[in-house]
Amino acid sequence: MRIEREGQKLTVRLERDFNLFVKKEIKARLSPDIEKLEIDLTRSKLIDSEGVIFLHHWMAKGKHLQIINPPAILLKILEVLNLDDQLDWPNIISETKLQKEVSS
Amino acid sequence: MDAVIELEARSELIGSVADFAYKWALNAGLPHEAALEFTLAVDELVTNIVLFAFPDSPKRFKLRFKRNLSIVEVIANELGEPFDPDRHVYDAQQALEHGDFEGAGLALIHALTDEFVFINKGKEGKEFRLSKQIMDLHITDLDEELEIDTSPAIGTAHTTYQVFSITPDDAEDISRLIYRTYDYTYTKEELYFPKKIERAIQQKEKLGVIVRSAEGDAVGYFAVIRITDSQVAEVAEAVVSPPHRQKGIMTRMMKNLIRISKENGLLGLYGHAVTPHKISQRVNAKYDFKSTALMLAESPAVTYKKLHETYPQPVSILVDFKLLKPIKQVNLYLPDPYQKMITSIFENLGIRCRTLKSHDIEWMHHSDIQIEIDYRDNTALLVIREIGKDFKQILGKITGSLAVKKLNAIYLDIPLDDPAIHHAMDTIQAMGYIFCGVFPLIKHDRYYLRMQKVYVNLDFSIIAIHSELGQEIKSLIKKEYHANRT
Repeated sequence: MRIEREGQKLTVRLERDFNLFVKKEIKARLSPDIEKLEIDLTRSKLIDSEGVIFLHHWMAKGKHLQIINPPAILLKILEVLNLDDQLDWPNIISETKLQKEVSS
Repeated sequence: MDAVIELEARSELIGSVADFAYKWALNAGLPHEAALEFTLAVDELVTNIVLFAFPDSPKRFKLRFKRNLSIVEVIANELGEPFDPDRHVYDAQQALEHGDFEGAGLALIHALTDEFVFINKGKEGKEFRLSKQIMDLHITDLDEELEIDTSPAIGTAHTTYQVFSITPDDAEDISRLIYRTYDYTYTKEELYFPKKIERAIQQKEKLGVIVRSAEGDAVGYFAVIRITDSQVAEVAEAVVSPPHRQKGIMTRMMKNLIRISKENGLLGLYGHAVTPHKISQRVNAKYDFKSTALMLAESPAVTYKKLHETYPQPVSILVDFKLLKPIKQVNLYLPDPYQKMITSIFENLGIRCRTLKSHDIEWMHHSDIQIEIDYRDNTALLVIREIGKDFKQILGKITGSLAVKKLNAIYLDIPLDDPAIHHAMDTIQAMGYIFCGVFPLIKHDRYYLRMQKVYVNLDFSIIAIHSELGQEIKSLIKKEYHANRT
């Protein structure tokens, strides 16, 4: 996992699945002045309920979130937990980064 | 293959377990997307154990990965804090408005698996079981032109057939043969899925023969399936194409199958024969199989193609056994109520049974009872590994947990080499278990007495039994069944 801070933005690139352990690791790096969080899940095959709960709580604080290339199973989780049409997921999820990197 | 992992309940290990679960599920035959769903369910289960079973100091727990041709299953056993999943129901409104996601992980497990079962084992802890079906392509998806074979008998006495040992390349031909012969009425559903057959042959779980006509067409198939943790197998699958019947194909296949089974070191073969009719029981008897048990309500009610009607109750199974290697004598602890019957069953197999007397028993502290659930047949099998001081409590808790699942029957295997069996029998009978029969060498080369607890109403007059000893077994079971219901 690579974590970079730039001003009020924290960028996290995961090399593994987004689970309880990763959630704890990210939380440990979050300070109150961070307003933007970008999590790159390109290399994750899974995100679990702990990951989704973390994202939900972050957004509930009114803070900015960007998720890059989440695994497809995220949509299934949101559907099962009835969260799919409650939050602004289309604007939170970005799936263009991988293509950009590949084309460059 | 099955696998067991023992690990500490630490969040650092969740990712590694998920990686293993994913690869294991793929190897077991789940396609990518289903393997991911299964993996997520395992991840959620382990996360729950980490968070709630051992919140203060992480302890070790076990995960068992089991699979057969149709399902993958993970069984978690832990001795953590009491927890009942039914009391933690996810509420989306609560999550959205108050950020309270209690039960979210369990909701996902339910949604991503076909079965999720919780069993409270009392002092022996908790058991969580989650399983998912392996969906393969049905033979009719692979060949839409396939038709049921209704042609009359062909050939003459001179028609030549060749018998071959099965290979993975025969899988599709076997599926076609089953479909063309039985339409959708064959009880072993996995035979309609060539991929399942291919995997079973590759992994040597299935030994068998295929018969081909001079033109190379598959016209007969007969196989045995190895029983896990034992040196015995079940004669499970047999078919001869209708136009090629009455030509000695079945006899040739059975002889070859017995030879192959011996060559592969098997000690015995089980034959499970249905009881709505006696046809398969007569076939077993012809090849010197001997009746050892009658399992009541073993599989759901079915329609038999030849009988043209639905059998009105779950199907009971007569269990026959054939020794492949002679055994002269066994020394076992025979519980009083069944001493005579068990001795007769062994004598019928050609085995002299010497009864051991149990004197002062050194009790184990804890009982060890392994649970297997057959979701398709709606039954469970409990295998007692150790009878301990807590036997009554543990068996009571497990039976109680399973009773709410609305099963047709629970079967209970008790090792006949355990001197504590005498003391356990009162408890077992008091809980409503009745006689079922004897299962020689079925697990770890041990001999088991099988008892059964039946939850459905059965009419014994339509349970047809061919063998003399089978009828005696049925009489004893019928008497206990009715005595238990009054």
